[in-house]
Amino acid sequence: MGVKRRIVGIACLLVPAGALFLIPQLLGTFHLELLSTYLLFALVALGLGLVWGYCGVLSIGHFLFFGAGAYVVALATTHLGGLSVGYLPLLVLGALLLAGLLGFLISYISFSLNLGELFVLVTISLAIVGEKVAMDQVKLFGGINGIILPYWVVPSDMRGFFQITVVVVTLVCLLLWLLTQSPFGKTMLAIKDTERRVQFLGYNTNLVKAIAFAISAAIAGLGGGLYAILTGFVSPTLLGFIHSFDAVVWVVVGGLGTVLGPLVGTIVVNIAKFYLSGFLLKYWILAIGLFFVLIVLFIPQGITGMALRRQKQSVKISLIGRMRNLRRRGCQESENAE
Amino acid sequence: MKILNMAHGEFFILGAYVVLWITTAGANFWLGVAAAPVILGAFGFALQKGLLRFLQRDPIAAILVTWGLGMIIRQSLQIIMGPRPYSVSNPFPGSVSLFGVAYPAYRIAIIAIGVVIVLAVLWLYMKTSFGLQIRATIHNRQMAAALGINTGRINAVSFVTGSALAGLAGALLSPLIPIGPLMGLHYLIKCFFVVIVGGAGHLIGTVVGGFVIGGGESIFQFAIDPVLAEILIFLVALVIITIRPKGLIRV
Repeated sequence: MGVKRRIVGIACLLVPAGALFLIPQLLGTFHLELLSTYLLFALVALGLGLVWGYCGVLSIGHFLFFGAGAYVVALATTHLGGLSVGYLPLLVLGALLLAGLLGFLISYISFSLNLGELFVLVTISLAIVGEKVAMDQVKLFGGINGIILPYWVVPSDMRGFFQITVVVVTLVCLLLWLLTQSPFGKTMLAIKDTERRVQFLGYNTNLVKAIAFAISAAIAGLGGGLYAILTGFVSPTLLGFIHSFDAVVWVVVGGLGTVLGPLVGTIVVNIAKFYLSGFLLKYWILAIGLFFVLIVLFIPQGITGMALRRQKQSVKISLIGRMRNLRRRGCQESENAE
Repeated sequence: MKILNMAHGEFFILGAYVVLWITTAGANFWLGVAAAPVILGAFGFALQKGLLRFLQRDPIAAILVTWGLGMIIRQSLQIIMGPRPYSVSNPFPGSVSLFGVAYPAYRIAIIAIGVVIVLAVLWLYMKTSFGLQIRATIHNRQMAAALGINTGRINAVSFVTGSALAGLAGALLSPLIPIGPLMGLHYLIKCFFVVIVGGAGHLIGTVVGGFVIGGGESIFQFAIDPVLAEILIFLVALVIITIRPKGLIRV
């Protein structure tokens, strides 16, 4: 494990550095833009990975916060006069704060209501309601046509924007890692394990969960704000349910309970989508659906988790082991029944 | 049973597709309505025995697997039937005058059939010893198992019943709705609202929830615009769970 850890540590330094200096030299504008988009999507997955993997709270509406961030930047740049490129970081910060606040309010109210597993339904419903509102309010949110941002917002230098994205994602990963190592992170993990016991120890678990949710929503909002700048266009589908479930797929594929897993999952799935959907065409969604089901069944720790934990066993063995576990669980279930 | 079936909407729309296939093959509409719950029930049985049985301990994995399955069904329908919506001809095209208002005959037939089915399920749930076993399992699974109830079988039967009912609902509504691959999702959300309002785990609550959501939506849609109606319904659902955290009706 020690060697493995060191390799991971070195990779954590080398990959961002390589991404920062090497990739902009190698790739053209088109691919840089794609990669930036994936990195911004990965921010949603990173946030979801925090709140789901470390706190046990699943949200199937996390793109609501991404979309909210995107709309903040879009509305500010189209409606406020006298802005220039220098103001953009301020707007992105606004997107981050607003998404965080929205996440805090939604989650704190929901947790106070003691919804339990129904919280998942609330997040789904909110994503759908959000999409409907954005689609319906044509005057404010541009309706189904969305909002096209002013010309000056869109980055002219894609290399520079890509480097900013890499820096932002790296910082977020670092922050998340520090957070998970902090006492707050330990409290989150304890809540995921047994919430009732943490309550007995005197913690306000609803508040801890809501803060974790707010942080993850803020990260998604940050991604959304940058996304609006990158594409120069926002539309209601950004808020919606389909994208939100994609984020769940990315997190599951990448690995739950690791900081970097969701990032890896997002990049892998999206790159696979880009290359495979070309020749698989409409069978692509079929393939990803099947792949997703298999991952949930057999590799619940995701690809990063698998690489970190099962270094001695080959994939094949761990697959068979998983199947055995599944069968054993099934047997126990029927034994219980008898 | 603590299984949140994210593919339930797809089961519903598959029921409608079954009617579509059977009527285009030249057979009677009602044959399709009879076949849909059987086919969907068998499908649910295979799914429960082959997959979900193993995921009983892990509700989140069940959510993910059923969503993946929903994705597969949606896309398969898209590939086989194409994205365009189909329609089924109405078996009772006429209208009936009811309290001086003309009302489509088929809708009245649906209301009658719906009432019969709800009563039948309620009877099964409340009056038979099998229903008692189901209620015991929902209430306390381990205790029920200790008392000799085969909880694995109860799970399977509930899931199959749920799938068959979804198929039947889809089949019955098929003449009234556009049948397209993505329609299932639309209805899934409505089901969620109903369950949130009614409370999961007891039937009367679900029926009342259905009335509150369905009726409320129609009234709001009539009075104000449809999107606002949906938001209002969502707020109503939230207010209801604030006041009655266990759902409207308590058993």
